[in-house]
Amino acid sequence: MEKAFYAPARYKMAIPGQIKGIAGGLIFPAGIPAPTLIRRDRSDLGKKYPHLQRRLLDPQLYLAVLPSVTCRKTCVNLASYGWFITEGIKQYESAKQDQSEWKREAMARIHKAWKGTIPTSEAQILTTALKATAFQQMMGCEAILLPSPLTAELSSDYSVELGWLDIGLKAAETQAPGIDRFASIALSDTSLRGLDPWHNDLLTVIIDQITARMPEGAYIVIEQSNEHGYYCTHPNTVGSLLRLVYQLKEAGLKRVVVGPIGLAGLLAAAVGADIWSAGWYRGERRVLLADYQDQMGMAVPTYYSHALAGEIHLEDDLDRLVKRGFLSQLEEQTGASKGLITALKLGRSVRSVPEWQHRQSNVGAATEHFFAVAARETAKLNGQTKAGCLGYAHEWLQSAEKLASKLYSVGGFNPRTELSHQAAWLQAFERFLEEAAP
Amino acid sequence: MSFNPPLTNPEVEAVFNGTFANVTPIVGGIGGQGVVFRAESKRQSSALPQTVALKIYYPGSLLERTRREVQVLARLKCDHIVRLHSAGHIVIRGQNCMFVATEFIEGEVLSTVACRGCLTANQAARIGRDIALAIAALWNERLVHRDIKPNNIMLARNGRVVMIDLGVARHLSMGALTTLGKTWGTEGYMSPEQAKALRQLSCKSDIFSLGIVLQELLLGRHPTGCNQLALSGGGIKTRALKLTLPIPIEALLDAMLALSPHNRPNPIDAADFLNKHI
Repeated sequence: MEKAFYAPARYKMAIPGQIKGIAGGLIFPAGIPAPTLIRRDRSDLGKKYPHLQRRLLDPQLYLAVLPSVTCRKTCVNLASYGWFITEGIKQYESAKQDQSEWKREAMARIHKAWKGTIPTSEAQILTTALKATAFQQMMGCEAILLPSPLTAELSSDYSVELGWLDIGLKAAETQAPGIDRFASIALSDTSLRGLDPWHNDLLTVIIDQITARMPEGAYIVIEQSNEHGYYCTHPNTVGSLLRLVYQLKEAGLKRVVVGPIGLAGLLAAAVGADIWSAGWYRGERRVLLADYQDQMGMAVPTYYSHALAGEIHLEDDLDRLVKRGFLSQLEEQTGASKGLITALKLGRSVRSVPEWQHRQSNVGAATEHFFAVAARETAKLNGQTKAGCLGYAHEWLQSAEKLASKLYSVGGFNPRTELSHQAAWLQAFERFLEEAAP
Repeated sequence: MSFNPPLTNPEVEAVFNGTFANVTPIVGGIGGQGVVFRAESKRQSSALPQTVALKIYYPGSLLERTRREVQVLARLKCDHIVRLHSAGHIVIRGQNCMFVATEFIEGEVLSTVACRGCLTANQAARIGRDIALAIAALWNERLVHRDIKPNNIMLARNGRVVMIDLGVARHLSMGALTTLGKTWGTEGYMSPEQAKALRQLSCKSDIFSLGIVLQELLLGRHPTGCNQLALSGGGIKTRALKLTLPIPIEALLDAMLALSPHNRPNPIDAADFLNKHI
């Protein structure tokens, strides 16, 4: 099966521009209430959003620990799916009220109704697993992602998660026979950063136990509770992702899917992942519990350079780098970036290109550009041998690390121009090659 | 821990109040957790074995584990796992003890078989297939035997291969019953992850132990002289043991003895593979 890039689907599902190569979508309940999703599905989700013809839905049980007082909107969205523990939130009924009324009511009650825990009895877990399976089946998902709680402790024996997996596997087999079942692995980076991933017994247990149960696939989500940027910067976190993906595939899992971890997902695809997903917005490219708080934030555009494996802030940083002669190294041609690159080559500033101007919410071109590169680079992996994929990733990271070092010496960047993860990724990848290169 | 003086046959018969008769001790039946007798069941049922191996556990010995072993045996339906007759508590010499009665297998344990010389690849493959099926049946209940060794496998006179003694089998939910860092199992047969007391084991750990048993049967001696440390990087490659085997069997054995559990075959796959090569 070909490697695929899936766009994240929250309330906003449309893909900007005419980007080719986005093979599917990964739906996140935290970003869209169930009634809205169901209504869109009735009006043919795949027709309106063609990339969603192939789709997966992450049940996001790992978000059960969210504090409802500060994350009301997300908790209301999640509560609408029926597999999170709540008390006193009525399920939406279209005959009785409209969606906005239901949402207003739910928002007013959620701080008390949301229990912030996961079921513990076998019967409750089974009910949860059945609901999550039934919903994904109803949504026409290509595989069932089994719900799993978040693993936050390095010392965990993983027995709670395995209990969920066993019940989930049975539930999906009963409820949705014939549909592939993917074990979810939801890990906090707290359980990964402290140890070399190749000596982390928690990962050994996870890989052994999951592959011994022989699900058709696995879905990996890493909660980056210790990261504050858009890019994962710890080599052990990235290395853990690489080890998980590689060994799950090595043991014979049909498909491995990597949830939002930004461009590190592409690296995961190079070592064996079949599907990776990331969006342009922060909440679509990392899982961090604090991101689900009810805050209004306005995004500003950034310019993604694949050669750098990172983005450049557009207020001043890109102009400064162009003046220093870095344009040829940072140039990234896509339909969305064409005008910007041309202008910069002609000696104009970023400000001269309206769709790339540093303004709040002016992110259409930046988003389209990001998706286009992600899809294009995924396509490059297809048709390559395993060694070819590893070679691609190694070369990419080596040159990105060199470029980041050069840029670092320029200094004075906005924090959004991130220049430290490249070295960490290269370190993680070279450690991976030491342990796992064929 | 033991019964001192040893339990006598009439003493055991009296405790069971006529349920079991003709109680006789089994040679080598005194173990770390209890003592085993051969006995005749007086309960008339075609579903139950008539001749039983009656294990009486020492007072206070692993009651919870034993109770779970019984629950598992009662649920399992596999020709290659010893069948349960009955189980419960008895008061013996004023102390509460558990007993487990399982079918009595007329035959020999594999350690006795191995003492007489090497087995052929075909004979070993048949034993491997049957025990792999037993491991699969246990894993279906999310149990890991943790003590697969020639002493715990019987070759019945009728040719049936049977796994006995689930005394240290561990279920996923049994975390609380295991002392942190304590290793159960037998030196020389434990997988590397079992020897280092990894928090959770899977069926792949039993598959490793089975690989060692098969090498032992084919060699006529233990591949490392029961040196567990020599297995810390995975099993010894079959070719290094100067065993001449069909290449597919050799490859399977080496895979069963891989260092990383995820690189070992699943028990069902191993059984299928061996079945094709018998």
